[in-house]
Amino acid sequence: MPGRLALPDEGTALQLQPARLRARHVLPAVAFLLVAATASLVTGPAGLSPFGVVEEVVSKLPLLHVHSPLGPTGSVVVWQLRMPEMVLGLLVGAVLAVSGASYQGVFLNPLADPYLLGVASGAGLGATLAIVSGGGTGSATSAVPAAAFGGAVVAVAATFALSRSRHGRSTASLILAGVAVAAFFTAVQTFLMQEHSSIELQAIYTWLLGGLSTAGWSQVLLVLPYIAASSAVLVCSRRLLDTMSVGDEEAMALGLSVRHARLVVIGAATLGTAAAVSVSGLIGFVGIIVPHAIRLLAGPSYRRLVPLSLLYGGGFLVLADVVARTALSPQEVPLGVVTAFLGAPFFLVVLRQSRKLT
Amino acid sequence: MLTVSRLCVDLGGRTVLHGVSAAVPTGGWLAVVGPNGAGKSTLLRAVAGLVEHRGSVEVGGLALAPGTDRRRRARAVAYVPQRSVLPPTMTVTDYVLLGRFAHHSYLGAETSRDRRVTAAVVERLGLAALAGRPLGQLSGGEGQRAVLARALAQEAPVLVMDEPTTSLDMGHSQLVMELTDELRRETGLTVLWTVHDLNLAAQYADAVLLLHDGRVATYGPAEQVLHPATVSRYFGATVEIVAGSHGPVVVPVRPLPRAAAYAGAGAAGPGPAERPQPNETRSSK
Ligand SMILES: Nc1ncnc2c1ncn2[C@@H]1O[C@H](COP(=O)(O)OP(=O)(O)OP(=O)(O)O)[C@@H](O)[C@H]1O
Ligand SMILES: [Mg+2]
Repeated sequence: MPGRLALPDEGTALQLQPARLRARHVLPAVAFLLVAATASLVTGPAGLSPFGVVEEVVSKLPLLHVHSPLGPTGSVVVWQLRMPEMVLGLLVGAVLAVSGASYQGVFLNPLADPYLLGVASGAGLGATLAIVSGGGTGSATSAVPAAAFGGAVVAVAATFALSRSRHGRSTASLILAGVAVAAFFTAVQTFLMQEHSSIELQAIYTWLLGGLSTAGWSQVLLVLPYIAASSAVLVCSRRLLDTMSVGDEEAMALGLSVRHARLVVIGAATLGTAAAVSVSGLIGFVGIIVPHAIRLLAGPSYRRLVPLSLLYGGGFLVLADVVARTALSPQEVPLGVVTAFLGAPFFLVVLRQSRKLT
Repeated sequence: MLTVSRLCVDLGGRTVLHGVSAAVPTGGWLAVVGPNGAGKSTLLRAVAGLVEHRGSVEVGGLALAPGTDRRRRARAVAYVPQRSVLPPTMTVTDYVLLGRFAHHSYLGAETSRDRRVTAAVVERLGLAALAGRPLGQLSGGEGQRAVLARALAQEAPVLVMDEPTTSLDMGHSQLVMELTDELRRETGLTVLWTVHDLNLAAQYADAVLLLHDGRVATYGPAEQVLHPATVSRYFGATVEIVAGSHGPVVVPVRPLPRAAAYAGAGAAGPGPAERPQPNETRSSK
């Protein structure tokens, strides 16, 4: 080992303030999440009183000895219908937002979103295949998550394979390969759709537009391991994303094996996103607007952005789901429509703000 | 101690460095000079392990082969590129702290020593007042000092700098050079440095390596390397060399008009076109 240069580090009174996640960032995010979760649990068609629902939930907490005013039916509605839908919303929103933030960091591109490398088109094709091969029957819909997940992973793997050129793999070639793969998968999907009947088309459209409404605990348990593992890896990699922001060459000079780190981050974000879309369909915009809104609130450092994306992303999607269920009640608006409807104007506001900031 | 031997680099299908060798003792300072495109940056990038190369790079007896662990390498060699990417919204503090990446645990947070070293570097480079500022709001020279601070925070025994003074004013350029000189005397920092200002090279470096077309043209103490004939041959510039108190001072002067141009010129004075062009000067030597 070569000798080490030891800088004289004593005798400076200068106190630096590096970006760090502090209580003043986390507490509002947790409060937002709780508000969203409560709003989600107390709204719904069964006519339960909001306070009753809250007391029902609190009564299950140990040590509090609160008695629930709800009967057995009410209890089932809360625990078997509303709770799993809310939890699924939290998981999906959290992983979409954190994946979006990570993709933006890896690609050094503020417009990168979790669908950049073909997850959405691959999942769409997978789901379409499952639905048309089962003729829109019940057995087909139960195969949709696995097929969508498989399609998403295959699409991203194809993007990776195609992006390798003679000079290695750059982020630009990855993005371009992603565009090509997405176009190809979407073309196949469109072809399949126009070959089939309107019953199946209806099922496909419902899936594509995204939603949490068919959720039960089984779906939550299905995706939980992927989303938890993916989020854990991304949260652990938050400092690597900060280091990557100086570009490949300088990040390497600072000691980061950029290719390796990029692969880990993209892999984790892809698995989490694939799991999310496999049960919720294609919900857009969350991966872009949530991270950008957090950048405005808490600055650009990934040390803050990544963990906060989990909290705000989960809360945001749960709130969007409340809007989807109540806006035109009893009719339900597709969740993907709500996020885009709220997301697009919000995105423009963010864009104007950020132009002021730089 | 930095040793480079028979370094060859191919870029875009052509050989850019043809077997460059050099040795810088611990605490030594080598300036690499040469015209644009000579291969100076490529040499530095090879030493920092950023381009594939043949030949060997050694720091203090440790061979830095192309596959060497990046973190280990970053603790041996700090690198300041010719053009840096400064993320516009990142603060100076966070940016300089990136220099500590190879020191704290791979996924972990920086330690209090990391923060102290960073603070010391920020202060010494006169960046204390700017510590909380986003990089996008710095002037070119302030940004360049931030890059240098980040490299120094790496605490590597070898500092490789690619034209670190190009956008610094005279005072800050001197500040940076003096600081580097102090560090090498205090801590034995070994410096490999490219520069276009031959005066700076002559005043600060113990040795100058003149690179031309990817080959070492001359290599030795500044007094030996910097001759009007050499400068004219490789840079196509006319200079006079004056002895200064810290080594030779290179003064660019207007080339003498060639006598032949006057002889048959008649009434017309020597127009700009008749001044010797760099190439002509070179061929006449
Ligand atoms: N990626 C690349 N692909 C192909 N050729 C390259 C590449 N990078 C540099 N070169 C070529 O290699 C040669 C050496 O480049 P280098 O950047 O090392 O020059 P330099 O001495 O640093 O010049 P300057 O004084 O302008 O900074 C140049 O001819 C350049 O065109
Ligand atoms: Mg150069």
